[in-house]
Amino acid sequence: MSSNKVSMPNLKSNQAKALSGVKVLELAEWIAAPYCSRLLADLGAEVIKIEKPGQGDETRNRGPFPGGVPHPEKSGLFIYLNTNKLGVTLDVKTATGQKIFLDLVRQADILVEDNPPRLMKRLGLTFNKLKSLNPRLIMTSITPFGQTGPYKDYKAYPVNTFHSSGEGYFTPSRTEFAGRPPVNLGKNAAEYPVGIIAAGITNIALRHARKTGAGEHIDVSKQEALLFLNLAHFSTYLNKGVLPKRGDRGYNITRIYPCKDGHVLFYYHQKREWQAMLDIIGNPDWGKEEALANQTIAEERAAEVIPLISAGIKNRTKAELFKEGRAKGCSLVPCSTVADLMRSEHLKERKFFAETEHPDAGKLRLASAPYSLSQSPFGFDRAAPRLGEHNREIYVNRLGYSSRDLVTLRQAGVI
Amino acid sequence: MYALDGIRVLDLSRGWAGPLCASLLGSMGAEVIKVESSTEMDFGRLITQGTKMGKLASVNQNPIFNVMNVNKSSITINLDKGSDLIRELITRCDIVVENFVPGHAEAFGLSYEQVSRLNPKTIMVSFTCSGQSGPEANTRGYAPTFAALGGLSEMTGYPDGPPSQITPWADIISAFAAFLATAAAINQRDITGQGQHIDCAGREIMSCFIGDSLVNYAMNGTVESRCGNRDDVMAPCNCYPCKGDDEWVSLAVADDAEWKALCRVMKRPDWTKDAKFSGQLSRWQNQDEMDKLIATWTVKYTPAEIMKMLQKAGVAAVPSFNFDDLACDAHILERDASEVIDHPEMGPYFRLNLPWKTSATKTVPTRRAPLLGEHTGHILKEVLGKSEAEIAELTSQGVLK
Repeated sequence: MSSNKVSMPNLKSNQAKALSGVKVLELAEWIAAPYCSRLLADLGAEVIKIEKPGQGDETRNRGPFPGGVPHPEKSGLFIYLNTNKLGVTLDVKTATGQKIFLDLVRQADILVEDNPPRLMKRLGLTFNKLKSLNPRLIMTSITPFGQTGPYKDYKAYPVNTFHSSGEGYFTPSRTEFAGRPPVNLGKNAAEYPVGIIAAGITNIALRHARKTGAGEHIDVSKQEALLFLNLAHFSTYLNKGVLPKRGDRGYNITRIYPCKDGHVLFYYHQKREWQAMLDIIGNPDWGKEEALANQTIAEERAAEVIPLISAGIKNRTKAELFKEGRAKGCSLVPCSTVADLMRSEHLKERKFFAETEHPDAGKLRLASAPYSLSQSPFGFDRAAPRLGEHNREIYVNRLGYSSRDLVTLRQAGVI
Repeated sequence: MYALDGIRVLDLSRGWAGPLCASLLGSMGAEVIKVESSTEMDFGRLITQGTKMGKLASVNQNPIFNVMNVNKSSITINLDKGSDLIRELITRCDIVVENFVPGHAEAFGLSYEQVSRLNPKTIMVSFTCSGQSGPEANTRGYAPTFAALGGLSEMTGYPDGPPSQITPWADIISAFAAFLATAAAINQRDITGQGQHIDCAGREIMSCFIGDSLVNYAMNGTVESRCGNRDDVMAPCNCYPCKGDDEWVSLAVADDAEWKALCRVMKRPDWTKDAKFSGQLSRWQNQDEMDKLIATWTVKYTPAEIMKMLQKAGVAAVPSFNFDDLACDAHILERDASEVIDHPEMGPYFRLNLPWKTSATKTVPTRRAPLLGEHTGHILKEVLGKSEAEIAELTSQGVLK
């Protein structure tokens, strides 16, 4: 097998993408790991998602659903995370299922998985075993606490993931919340960044594998990934001993202010941005005090200044303030609601939302990718797979099982 | 060998997201040249706001700058006078990372169109708040701006409280998104020989993280908002007070089996039979009452004790760790999460290791962040082949400030 040769598959869109020809196998559910492989799929890789027979990915049971009516083929969360993938069912806990899994591993460049390390060990699906079948395999394992250490098999749902990282402890940051519990980031928001981090290092490993012919095991701990996202504060803590807590953060004048139809954030670092803000609120007399142009002094007098800024903002709309902030060079922006985002002319012009047509859930606009590449255009080429939708394509056309085998495997609960 | 051997990166960016992206490429083996200027300082060298770290003794002593800029060299070039020199450097580079306000780079001959004419193999990573196109492309933004505009602030906080300002977190994950896109573009270039333009918008990265809530609007017109620690389906799902001052544990239960396990550990088997809590839906409907009851148990133990007891029983319980907890946590220590780097002005300083462990791809031994302009002469000689006389000329023209 040549390590440098990459075949280009036939794509619907005639342009090859960054990862065209790369084959990914996904043995994962929920959010972080499926998001990692969706990012790879969006970049052109072929992703085969493996789900438990009959049951499927846990997110199939979680909303949003059209009209609020649960249906395993209509979960908005599942569709968001699994569009652009092929889907098969396979019980890797059965002997036959495992044999089929190993056949799929032989044909893959990358395996993305999120199972507890002890389960993979018990199933005999360790990296060393898989490597012996496919020396070029990159196995990206994404788990709450990584592959080693005393917590390696601990369980974590999205709320636990975020709080494991240290960031939850000082969220939210405003003084008046000091006595209340730490809160989660968004609803599931902490899971997605882990997928980005894992997809990044997987791409690096792919280049390494193409150059050397050697695959590898990548161990991504969600806790460490999110701790790293705290690099600024954790470095200050490690080097200066500053322990951030809820309510004692230094954000003062730079904060979220209520306005006529919601909230806006004002943030600044530079004197000219502060002056732009004063201009937006009508150049009040108090703003002429030269000392306030110094950010440190202004922040020290936050208690006095915040109500003055608030007064200049509270009767104006998010859109008005945002427009004026942009014109004058000040970071004054709305706290967007999901409705604001879905209706945004800016995002529309940038094609941030892309349409997928799902056979059961219908046409939907979904968030595309966290970047756009001029030579690897974004597109939803496939709808999210129905449970086991590509069993025939993969097992019969690709692995050579017969149609009769397919029936037997289904009856035995293997697929 | 390193995965990015043979790749040279020109880092024209400032602040945190762009510079960290370049540093990550450096850690995987790329040679990174950071272009900065003493006349318009990278504000990443100056930021202390919100950290309570006090005043810095010099621009070389910012611990945040020094962790975000490892594995790169620094050359000082005054952009107004030295754009030709920067363009000359671009002809010797594979990747350019920049975060100019859209349109600003053109005046200096540094837009993607201009750069790709110089070197069509160049991969340019442009990082901004709102992206390179669209009516709001001129947004000025920092990390909290991305999170507010992208919808994450509106989704974070107590249901009865205002949206939350999100920390530097938004910058750091943006660096990883740009790093991912760059790595993919390098893989593509290895095959096609072509460069490309990567357009990274901080606010759009944030919007991807609330993608499931956006689908709810697309499907049903539902506007989801802040829900504290709670979940649409799971209950319990919250942070509970523990023994000690401001100590909390996060706890989530996905099904009846986990609820039974939790009740067994709490020694309250009766709660599995109580109609109010016996099924997932009834628990969810009665969670205010249930949360109060659970808190009467959690408050008797430390978060670490609860994690140990409940994880053993198969229940997802994880402390809301603070930095003191993490710095001396047995798991983190065993995972070898940080390293010490020596710095001539700061002395030894701590840095977190990269958030992955790889069995074949190697990370370069960490080189401390550069002092301002530390490698100016070296880069001019080694990369551009300038003579002493040419360097003296550039210096006298004020190009190298």
